[in-house]
Amino acid sequence: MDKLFPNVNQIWPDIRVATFESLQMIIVSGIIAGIIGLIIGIVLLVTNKDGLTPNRVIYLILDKLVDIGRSIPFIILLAIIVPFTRLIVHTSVGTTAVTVPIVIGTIPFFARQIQNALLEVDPGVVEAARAMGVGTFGIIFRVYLKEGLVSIIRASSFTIINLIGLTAMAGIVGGGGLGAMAIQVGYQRNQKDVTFMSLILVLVIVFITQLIGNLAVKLASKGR
Amino acid sequence: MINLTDISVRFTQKNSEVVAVDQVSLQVDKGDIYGIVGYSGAGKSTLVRVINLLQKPTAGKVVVEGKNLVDLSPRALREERKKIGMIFQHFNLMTSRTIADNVAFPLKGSGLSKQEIAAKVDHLLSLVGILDKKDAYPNKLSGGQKQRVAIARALANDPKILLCDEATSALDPKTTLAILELLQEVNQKLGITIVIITHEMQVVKEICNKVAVMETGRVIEHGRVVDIFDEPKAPLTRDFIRTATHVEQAEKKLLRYTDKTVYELKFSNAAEPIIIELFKRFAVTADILYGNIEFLQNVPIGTLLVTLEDASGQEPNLTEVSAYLAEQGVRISKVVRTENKEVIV
Repeated sequence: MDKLFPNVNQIWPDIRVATFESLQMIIVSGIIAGIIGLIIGIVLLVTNKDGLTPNRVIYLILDKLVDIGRSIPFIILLAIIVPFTRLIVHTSVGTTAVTVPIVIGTIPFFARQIQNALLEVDPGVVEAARAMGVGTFGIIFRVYLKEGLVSIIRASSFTIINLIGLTAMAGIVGGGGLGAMAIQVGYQRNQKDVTFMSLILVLVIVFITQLIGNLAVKLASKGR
Repeated sequence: MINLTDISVRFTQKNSEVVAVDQVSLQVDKGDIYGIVGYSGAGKSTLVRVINLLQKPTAGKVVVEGKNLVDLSPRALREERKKIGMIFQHFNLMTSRTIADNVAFPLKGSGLSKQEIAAKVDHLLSLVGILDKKDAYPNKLSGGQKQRVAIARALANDPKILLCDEATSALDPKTTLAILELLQEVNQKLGITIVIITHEMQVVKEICNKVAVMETGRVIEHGRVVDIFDEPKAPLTRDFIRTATHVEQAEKKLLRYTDKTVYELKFSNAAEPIIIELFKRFAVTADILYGNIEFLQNVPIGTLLVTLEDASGQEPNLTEVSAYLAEQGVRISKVVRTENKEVIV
């Protein structure tokens, strides 16, 4: 261990902190972006011209925002978002501050994923529910979210893995986490073993996410 | 019960306008099993969706049990829809819920307690004969079983009307008959008015008492099934019926084997044994090539394909023969070889 990871052994506490910071960023931004993205995805779905309550204006605005949001390279988003971040969390450095661009960067991605996932729900089932006199909210919660659950879980684990990639970039603007550790310690001080250890830990987080995702899909696919 | 007045449905696509339903008026009475038949693209599916306003008509009135649905608020419309059950060609069950949960689905918010809902679901499932599958998921069921579940679900809110959109088109002939029997039972036992959309006249023949024939968005003929089968007026209706009664196939084959003129005799209740009478009265021998009797609502509708010869082996005097037959309520027509179209003599 000493030979393979000479520097890592000196800074175990720092690595532990970095890992927790990474997890914190992933979980906090995952939850916030998840909720907002889910709502936007649903609104996109129902306001589309074949949706439950077509609304051209809302759809066009959201659709374009999502398109634009997805086109902005994250590294540029990190830079231009600083004033907005200061406004919300009153600081532009640190783990909390970097959560803001991660959330902003993830929302459009997740919203589109959700929209596509729910489009897979059999329109016939939706029509049947309408014929039964179920209202828009009933159809969203009892048909789309229920029937589309497996697709939603898949989209979620896909998005979280994507989000883990974003957190790794957070180090650039003074955020913490394993990405920062890899760059600031591993790369800039040329301690290759720290970079390598950071990578391993990130991969472990990714694998665990995937594992949980697959398990959830299995549970939700009951009966199919 | 259902009164459609001057219903039109037009869709605008890019630069063109498609008229799916063109000024259709239709009346369905309480207790009817009303068939709407037509080829795909005739507008019948669009028309049935107008009845529960899944499809808003561009023009016209949709009066169901005295209420014009077009005027209702969304909330009031949802309440009305609960009184109109609907089943579909592809069943449209929710794959993530068990059979029992599928049937319970429309009962949420109905004010029934959990126990009452469970009891009602059991009752409905035994009504459609599928109670043993209650805890299974739809994917484990055959097409016929799925349609039974769909019927149970459609009946959950005790509707007055059941709309069937090509409900048997994805099923094999035997299962089709079983489902039709079930629908008839639903009609008779529960007094539910049924509207059936289909492209098969066979289905209409089996259970409907009234029928409307649709072509390119219009209803070209409608009335009691017995009357329409007995005396179809529009060429398309005749086409449908001949396919359904297999007369057409018989004609095609027969014409290949005989050079003689073939006549089609149609009757619903011949008073006299007409074949014998033709011989006795006019010395005309009728050689029966094909015969078929359909029972529609217990009324027999018969078709005979015959060749006719007088005593000298020649074509008989058709004027007196057809006059006599008309007297007996039998219509005679000549089956024409070319294009296989018949010409009324």
